[in-house]
Parts: sequence; structure tokens; C-alpha cells
Amino acid sequence: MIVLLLLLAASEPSGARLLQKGRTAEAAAVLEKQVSRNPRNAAFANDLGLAYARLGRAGDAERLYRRAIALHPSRFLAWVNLAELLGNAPDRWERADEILAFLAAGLAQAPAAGAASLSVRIADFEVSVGRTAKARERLLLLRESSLTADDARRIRELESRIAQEERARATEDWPEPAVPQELRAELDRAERLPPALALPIADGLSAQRPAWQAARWLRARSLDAVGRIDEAARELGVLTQLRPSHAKAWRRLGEILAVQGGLLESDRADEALRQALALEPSWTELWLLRARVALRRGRAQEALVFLKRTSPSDEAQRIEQLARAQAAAAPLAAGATTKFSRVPTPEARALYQQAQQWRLEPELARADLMRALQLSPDFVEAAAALYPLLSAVPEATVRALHDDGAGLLELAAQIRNAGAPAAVVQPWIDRAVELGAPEARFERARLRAGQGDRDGALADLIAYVASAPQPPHLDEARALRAQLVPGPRGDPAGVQARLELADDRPEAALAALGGRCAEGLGSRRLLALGEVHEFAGDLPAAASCYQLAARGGETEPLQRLSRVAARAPLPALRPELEAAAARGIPDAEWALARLEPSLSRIDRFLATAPEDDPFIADARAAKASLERSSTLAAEHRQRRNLALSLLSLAAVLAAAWLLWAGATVETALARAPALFPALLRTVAEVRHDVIKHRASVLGLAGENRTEVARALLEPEPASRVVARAYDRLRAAARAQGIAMRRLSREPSFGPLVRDLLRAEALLREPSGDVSALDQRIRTEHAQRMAALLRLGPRTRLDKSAVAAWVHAVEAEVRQGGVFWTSPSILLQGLEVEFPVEQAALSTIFANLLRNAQAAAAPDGRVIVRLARERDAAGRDLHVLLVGDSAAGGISLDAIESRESGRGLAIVRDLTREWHGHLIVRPEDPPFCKAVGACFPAPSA
Amino acid sequence: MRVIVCEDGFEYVERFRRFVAGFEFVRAGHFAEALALAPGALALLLDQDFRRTPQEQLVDASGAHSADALPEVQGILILRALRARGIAMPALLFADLDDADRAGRLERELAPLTIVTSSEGLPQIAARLRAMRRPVG
Repeated sequence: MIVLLLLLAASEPSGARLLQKGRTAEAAAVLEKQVSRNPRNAAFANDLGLAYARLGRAGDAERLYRRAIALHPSRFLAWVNLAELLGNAPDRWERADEILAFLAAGLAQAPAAGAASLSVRIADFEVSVGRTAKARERLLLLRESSLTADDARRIRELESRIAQEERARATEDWPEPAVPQELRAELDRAERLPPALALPIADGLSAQRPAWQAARWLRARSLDAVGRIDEAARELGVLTQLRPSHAKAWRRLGEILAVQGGLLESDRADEALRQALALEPSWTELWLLRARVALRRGRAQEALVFLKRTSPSDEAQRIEQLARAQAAAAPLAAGATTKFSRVPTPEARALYQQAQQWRLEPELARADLMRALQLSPDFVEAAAALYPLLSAVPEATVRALHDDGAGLLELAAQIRNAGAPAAVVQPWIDRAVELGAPEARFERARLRAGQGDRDGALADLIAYVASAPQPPHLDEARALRAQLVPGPRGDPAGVQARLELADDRPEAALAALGGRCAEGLGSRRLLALGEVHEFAGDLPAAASCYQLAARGGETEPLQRLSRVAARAPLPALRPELEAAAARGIPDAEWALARLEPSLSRIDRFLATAPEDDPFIADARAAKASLERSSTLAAEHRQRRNLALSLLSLAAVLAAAWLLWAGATVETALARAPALFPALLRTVAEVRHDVIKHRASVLGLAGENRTEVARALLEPEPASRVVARAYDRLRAAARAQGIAMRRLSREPSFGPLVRDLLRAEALLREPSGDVSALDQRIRTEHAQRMAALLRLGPRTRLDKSAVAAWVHAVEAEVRQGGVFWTSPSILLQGLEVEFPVEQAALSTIFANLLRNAQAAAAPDGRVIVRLARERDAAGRDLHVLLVGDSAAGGISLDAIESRESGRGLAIVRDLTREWHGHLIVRPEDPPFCKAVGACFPAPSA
Repeated sequence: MRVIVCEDGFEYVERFRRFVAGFEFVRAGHFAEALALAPGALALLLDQDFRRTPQEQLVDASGAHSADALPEVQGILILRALRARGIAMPALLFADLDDADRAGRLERELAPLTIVTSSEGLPQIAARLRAMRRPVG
């Protein structure tokens, strides 16, 4: 603009001066006269066009500019002015093509000195008619040419406008498809249904017309209402893409993301809320939500600012407290304040707007701007507008922004756009960096890169990228890094493959790497191929690549191989896995454990694997399972062993029962003393028949073996004689309710039978010494038999025992109502032991006494006598006698002839049973006779 | 050399005849037979128990048939009756007496008597017989 004004002043001093002073109407009148006087003067025509343009007479202005161009086509100022005029014309959109063609023709004729300025104007026009891409291309070309400061400033302004235009275009809604009436009717009907019922209809409508925003809006709301939040957010995301002006969609999306999205979605949430608020500023309650999101993003100061825009509430108060606490915990530098804190006064803003009108009156504009800055020193826009006029920024502005990092950055950006060299803005950016302004590092990096300070720029870029997740200029930062740092000299195919993978194209990645793993390929390439296969889920192929790579002896292939094998057990990999395990690679242990369950391997894996190893959870589960199964197996074994033990025990018990069940002779006698007579008979038979006779010849076997054998074996073997005798004893015992032990396990008869069997076996042979057996039978077995006889029951009778028995009989007799006389008891102080069971002896006594009482009736007497005697055989006998005074006698023969079962017959049978003798003796008067029983005295 | 074997069966006499040579073993089934065979006999071998012998053939210590003619000690009673009649030939009584005093007493009362228990086999008994055959003094 300055150049334009200067040129105007030079070409026509009078009209141009008036124009410079802003006296446009006067200038127009003068210039009209000059044009009429000099109709072929292109300069007058151009100036008059400029005056008309300022007076709002656009048509006249265009005519005059065209006339000037026609008169002097190479006069580029006319072209420039015409382009600027048309760029502000209301019908510029309709005439864009025509105008651009016209301007292109002008550019072709413009001298080199003015071509750049004209190109800038054309780009300006292109921007004004929405052709930003074309304008960007034009400006890029212009940047390569030498530019005046004014053109450079305009280019920066235009680039900024282009960016804004593009952002603005991004908010434009996409055209909607044609929707038939019946579908619209269906949508209307669905709108009236509950969400659960409306949802399937909305699904169908959206499927039929994916770009139909109303259907998507209904679907989004229905999903939201039925609790399918993630799908609702996705639907709202699509909807806001299609229709960026959909405030409600932005709002609901922001609400969902703010409430449900957490930290990762906080940026999207804030953007959605921001968009909603931009479209509908009355939703002030969203500021509260934005404050919450800001808190989540760690921007406490921002949250405090947002809270000022919402209504007071408990929630707002709570968030404010949180924000203040967060701010106190991590105080944000004052310079990080947002632009909301820099609000010019209304008067300053009015002055700024007025200064904008004084484009051709720099002095006036400067005065207004200076005044605006006096009122609001931190009015960055005013300072930027003033800079071209003053080539400096007021000191007060710099001071005002000294602690406002964002403001300093804004000032630096606008001043740079105004054409200031880097050195002017550098102190401000440095200060903004000091203040911790979020974008300061990036701005300084750009500045330093422009100044050739590569290291400084890179340091700032790194700090910027490290400052926050997804910083706003991340892409630009990457691009700048690419200029500063040469790319890594790696495998271009590997890089390409990685990019393809990032685009989710594993096949393309494989193609970039050459296709397949094969011997001869370098380990890096093999690893890269393996990674692609791994990405594609083809684990065997990946393992194959790593296996080949591992042949180089490097550790990384083994690590990767182990990890693949840990996911997919492949027995063929065992050697490599063993090698990897030997190198201490934890995943190899787990992979091997998967091939062959091993608690020790799992333990080694768990002990050495890093905490974030993905297989730890599986390994722990496998360990628990193994331990459980081993416990189960142990329990199973235990149960089996227990069962076997029980079976064995049962078998042993059964065998023991078979072998040991039943009573020995000794125990049988203890339980049933009445068995003793049977035992006496058995022992007598064995001793007589076997020991005394048949076995007694064994000592002669050496002399007459055949006869000895016959003696022992015929007519039946001696062992069988013993067995049969024992069987009879067992039968007698069973009759007493006693089960006796099998012969082979009976401790008295069993060994005798065994020895007899051995002797019999030996004697069946032509040779064999039986002397030991002979000795044993005659001594040990004979003694055992004798010992059995000493096991017999003994019943001691003394005065009291006899009296008790007498009383028992008396009671019985008296109950019967027959005669009873108290017997005289003559014991002579004896206590006599009988080898008879007590019951048998008492029965004998009772029958003797009853018999005597009966005999003594009606007035006789009875006597009971115990005696010890020795018979002619030298035996000591114990005698029990009961006498009576009845005259009639009784003989043994008479008793012997009596039938069993009554009175003295019972005495007879029992006495004989117990190997005693019935006796009948005369008694001294007054008694007549006595009947009794005598028994050999038991051996000591 | 005649040896009287007095028993209620035939077990002893058969055994002796089969295994002990050099003697003439004659069986006496009861007291009367023993008494009849006694003259000229070398020795008397007696069983103790005569339960298989009919009651009427049993005798008491005097050699009479009485209530005291007990079968289980019949051998002793026969010997005692023989001794009472002056029969003094050596005797072997086959008995397992559980009372050593009683055995000793009997051997003294009824001497010359040796009570032979089951612990002695036939060779020992034969040896005793052969010892009886040697001239005394």
C-alpha cells in the first residue's frame, strides 16, 4: 500500500496529493478534469479509478482501471488496483474465471519489477473467490522470487488467510443426498418411537442413505439412549464430519467424550465442546464441561477462565477448587495465560477499527493506533497494524506483554507477518519460552531454523514435542525436523515396509521387503520380514524368518523367535528356543514350557521376565493349572495307592482271617471251659496213637526205613490222624459257639502236623534224616500236648462256696414244697480244687444234694463232705460226697443203669465227662451212705 | 526171652514185634492174662490206660473186680496186683504222669519199675529191654 501511494504521488501531484491526504472527493474532481484533459494518460485514469474505488463507485473505478490498462498495459499498478477492486466486488464469485483470465493476461504483460506484486494481488483474488489451493501454489512460487518487504508481508497475510479459509471451509456442511419421500416419512415415524424401537429403523435408513444426516442424527440419539455409548460417539463423529454446523451433534459428542472418554479423548471432547459453543454460545453450561476437560488435560488456568463463563453452581465451585489445587501443585507460568486475559477496551477496539479505515492516511492510522495502544498496551492487533507505519513496537506494549507468553507469541507472529525481521521478535519469543508458553518452543524453533541455528532449533523442537501429547503443531514440527535432521541411513525398504504396516497393509510391506524369507538374506531384512508376518498374524512364517535370522548368532532374532513361539508353540523351534533359554531370554522359557509343561521353566520365566511381559498372566495361570493338576494327580495317586493299600489290607485281613481267624485251643478253653473234656479226649488220642506209638519209631528210620515209613503212613498218615482229631475238637468247639483256628495256624496241633508231614514226606523218599523231627515230636510236641491238659478249668470249693450252693438247692427244694433238711457240712477246713468247670461241679453237687434230701425225707439227715484222698494208682483225688441217713442203700451199678438226664444219672454222666469217678460209700451213723464224685487233683 | 506186653489194644505188641528183635513179645489184655504169662517172662511192659478193656476184666489194686477197677490207671493197678502176688519181674510202665513225685513214689512202691514217658522212642525202650536181658552182677 505504501508503494502504491508513493507511485500515485509521483504520477499526479495534485490529485495524488489529495488522495494521500484522504480528501478523496476533491481528488476525484481534480482527476476527472485531468482525465478529460488527458484522455490517453493512463496514470490519471488509474488515479481516478482509485478515487472512485474509495468513493464506492466500483463500476466507474473498474472502467477507469481498464482504461488505464488499455492505454498502458505494462503499467502494473492499474492491474494491481483492478485486481484489488474486483477482489472486493460482490459478483466476484460469478466473474471469477473471467477476472482471473484477465489478470493472468496482465501478469503476462507486467514487467518483472511488478510481476510479484501483481501475483500477490491475483492470489488475493483467488483467495477471495475460494480458490485457496490455487492461491497457495501461486504464493509458493512467489516465495522463490525476490520480494519487496511489502510483498513478503502480504504473502504472509495471504497464507494466514488461506489457512483461515481452509479452516472455514472445513466447517462447511456436505451436501445431502436426495431422499425419497417415503424414507422421510419413515424417519418421521421413527422419531416418534421410543429409542429402542427407533434404532433399527434408523439403522436401516442410515444404511440406505449413509450421508443422510437426519437419519444419522436419529441413530446417534437412539444409540445414546439405549446405552450404546461408543457407537453413539462414533455416529456423532461421522455426523459432525458430514455436517459441521450441527451444534447439537457437537454438543452431545462433547458431552459423551467428556464424561465417558477419559484422558485419551479429552482433546476430542474439548474440540467438540468448542465447536458446539462456537455454533451456539448460549450453551454456557458447556463451559463447565470444558473446565472439567481442561482439568483433565492438566490446564488448570484454562479451566479457571472457562469457569468464569458459566453460571455459579456447586459443581463449578468444586471444579474451581480442584483447578486451584492443580494450579498450586503445578503453577502455570504467568506467560501461559490464554488470550482471554488480553481484552482491549472498547475504545481501543474502536480506534483500531477506525485506523483500519485510514489505509491511505498513514498518519491518521498511526495516531489512532498509538492512541489505542495507550488505552490497551497489550492490544496485539493494534501493535501489529502499527508496525508497518512505525517500524517498531511501542515499548509499553512489550512491557505489557512481558509476562504474557501467549501474548508475546501472538505479537511476534503478527509483527513477523507485518514484515519485521526475526531479530525484532526473537527477544519476545525467548521471553515466551522462559514463561513456558505452550507453543513458544515451536515458534523459536522456526525462528532459529530460519536463522540457520540448526542445533538450537532442534533442541527447541525436541522440547516442544516432549511438552505435551499431540501438541498442535506436531506435524509441522516433524516437517521442520525433516529439514533439520537428515533421515536415518537405514534400509529404505525397511522404512517403506514400516510405513505400509502403519497403513495396515502387510502385503505391501512384504512386497517392499522382497516377499519371502530365504537363506542369504541379511538378518535385518529377515527380521523385518518376520515382523511383517507377525503383524499379519502368520506366526509360523514369522518364526521361520526369525529362525533364519537367528543363525547369525545375534540375540534379537532369538528374542523375537521366543516371543512368537510363546504365542504359538512350534516344536520345530525347540533347538533355537533351548539356545535362547541358555542365553537367558525369558520368553524362551515360557515357549518351551508351552511345548512341554514344566513348572521349573515357568518359574524361571516368571523370575526373569520383565513386569510388562505379556505372557506373565498366562504363565501364572498355567503354573496354577499345573500345580492343580499335579495336586490332582498326586491326589489320584494317593487315592489309587490308598485303594491298593486298602485292597492289600483287605487281602491280608482276608488271608489273616483265613489263617488266623478263630480261637486257639487256649483261647477257646478260656471262653468255653466246657470244651475241656473234648480236649482231653483229643490230646489222649494224639498222645497215644501218634506220639507214643506211630511216631515213636522214627528213631529207627536209619535201620528199618521201610517199616518206619509204614508205621507212620499206614493205614493212614499220622498227620491225618492228628488232623482228624483236631477236626473233632473244632466241631466240639463249634457246638460251644467257638470258632477255632485252622489246623495249620493252631499253635499246638499245627506244628505237630507240619512236622509229621515233613517226616512223612521224608520217609516217602529213599533217604532223608528224620531224627530231628523224631526228637522234636517226642519232646516239644509231647510237652505241648501235656501243657494243653494243664489248661483245664478249676473250681475251688470251700465252706462258703458249699454253703451258697446248699442255699441255692434249698430254695429250689423248698419252692417245690418237698422235704428239706439242712445238711451238715464237713469240710475239715479244706479248700479243695476240682478240675471241673464250675457249672458242671455245681450241677453235680446239686443233684447229689437233692438226691440225699429225697432219700432222707421225711425226717432224715444229710451231710456234705469234702475230702482229699490218694488212690491205688498213686493219684491225689479230691472227693465231694453227700450222705444221707436213709436206711436204703444204693450201688454204683444201680446208678450206672439209670437213664441219663435225671438225678444221679446226671451226676454220673458229668463226672465221667470230666474224667472223674462216681463213688458210693457207707457213712458213719446217724448217716447211712454217701454218694459222690472224685477227681484227680489238678496238677500244680 | 519172653516179654509180656499188657495193653488194651495191640499197638505196643505189634510195634515191638516189628521193630525190636531178640525178644518174644506176648500180649496180655488184662490182669488175669498177665498173671498167667508172668512165670518165666523177662519183663512186663504195661500200658496205663485200659479204656478199651471191658469193665468186667478190669481189676483193682488187689486184682479183684470192684468199683475201684479204674480203666485210666488200670496198668498201675494190674502191676500193683501182680506185685501183690509176688510177681517181681522188671516192668516198664508207659505213662505221662504230670507229677514227678507220684512217678517216683510209684517206681519205689512197684519196683522194679520204670515209668517211660512219651519222650522216649522205641529205640530207647528197646535199649531198656536189652539192658534187662544182661545178666546182673
